[in-house]
Amino acid sequence: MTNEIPARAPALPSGPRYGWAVVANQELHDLWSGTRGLTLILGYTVVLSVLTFLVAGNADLNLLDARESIGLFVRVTLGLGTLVALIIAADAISGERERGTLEQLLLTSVRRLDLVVGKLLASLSVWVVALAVAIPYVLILARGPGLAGDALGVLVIAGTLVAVALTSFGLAVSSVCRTNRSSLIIAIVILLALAAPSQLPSGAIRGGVGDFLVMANPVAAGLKLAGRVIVDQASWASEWKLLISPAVASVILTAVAVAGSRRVAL
Amino acid sequence: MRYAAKRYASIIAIIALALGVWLSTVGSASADSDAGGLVVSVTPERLSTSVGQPAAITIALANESSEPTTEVAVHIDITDPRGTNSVDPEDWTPELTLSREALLPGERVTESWTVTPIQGGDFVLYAVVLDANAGVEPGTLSVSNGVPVHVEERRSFNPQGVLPLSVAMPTLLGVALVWRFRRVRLK
Repeated sequence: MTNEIPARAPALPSGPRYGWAVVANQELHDLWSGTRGLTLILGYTVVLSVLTFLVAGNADLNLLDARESIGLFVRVTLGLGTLVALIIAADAISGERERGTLEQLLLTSVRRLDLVVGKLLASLSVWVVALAVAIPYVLILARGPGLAGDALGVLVIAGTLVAVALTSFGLAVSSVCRTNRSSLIIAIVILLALAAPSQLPSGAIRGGVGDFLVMANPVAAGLKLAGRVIVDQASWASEWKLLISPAVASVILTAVAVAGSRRVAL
Repeated sequence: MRYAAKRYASIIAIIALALGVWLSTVGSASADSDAGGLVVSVTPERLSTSVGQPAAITIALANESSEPTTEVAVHIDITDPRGTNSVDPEDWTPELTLSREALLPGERVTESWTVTPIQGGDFVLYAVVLDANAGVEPGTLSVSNGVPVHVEERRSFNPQGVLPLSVAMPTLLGVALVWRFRRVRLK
């Protein structure tokens, strides 16, 4: 009887090759086959319907310029759609932790990185659905002034970049927060703080510092782009700089969320 | 004695009459001075429109004095004299005040304005013309006639055809949600 030494040590159990796809698939199923995603999108759609009726009514009575009405609609859609995606992302890991299901997840062979990436993709699906729901409203509102292309362009490009940034941020917060409540509060407060400059009177953020603050803030920059391209009819070529901070924020915050996967623990 | 009293009374009456005439002369002179010989009027004399319907008005300025005016500012205002409605004229027109160069003696100019009412009711529109320096030094002020403005309310139940979409989208999603909710409960 020979006692052969194995040529190589047995490999440590590793996760499935496409673990992130497995997690994303499961998360998408939980989100959309249940009632959570539909409930949030229903609330979002009700707001869009009321807003559409109001702005169309005001535009019909000449109380609101047609461009301003579409600009307002796009800004609200961008803000609300990304808020809904942020809420889902902020609940993704802290929610599992609070419900006591995170332990089971961590005991599976799926890597933590795959867990975070899968949840990130599932959270982003909320923005994709919110965008799809907004398209008919944009098309019907933009019929007269012929702004459908610009409005959809702002939503698809700026909205998606802002959504990626905020969803990644929400997921990063969710990874480190012990409770769901704290992660939701932090995420929403930060979103409100980022959106606040767009609510200030234009005179309050005029000048070099004001312009820089808006340019550096991905949410404010996205909202300003909607105003400039749709309401002021500025060209995309002159306003492309407003896409820098959403693009940079989406890359950095996605990296932060992915790097934060190491901190996902009970 | 009675004669003296009558005499004093008649003297006092004459003095009072003279004083009254003098005061009225001074008063009218100062009023002319205030107006600076500048006459401002708004046409049409009466306006009837509906909410959101732009209405054009014309403001005419005429220098009826023998002196040129200073630079002037023409300002319009809209108010509800009965106080039933609160009016913000800036909501009716983006430009409430505009500046004009001095008017020569006898010169007459007109300015066109468009106002878009945002609420129904009965209002009065008027224009005032003041010295461009009125903010720095006491200046003159000329006020136009008041134009009664009647604004009909207008309601649209399907503005721009958005009502079907605004109702259909939440309804469809609501039905889908109820259907999912029932299936989840059955499971």
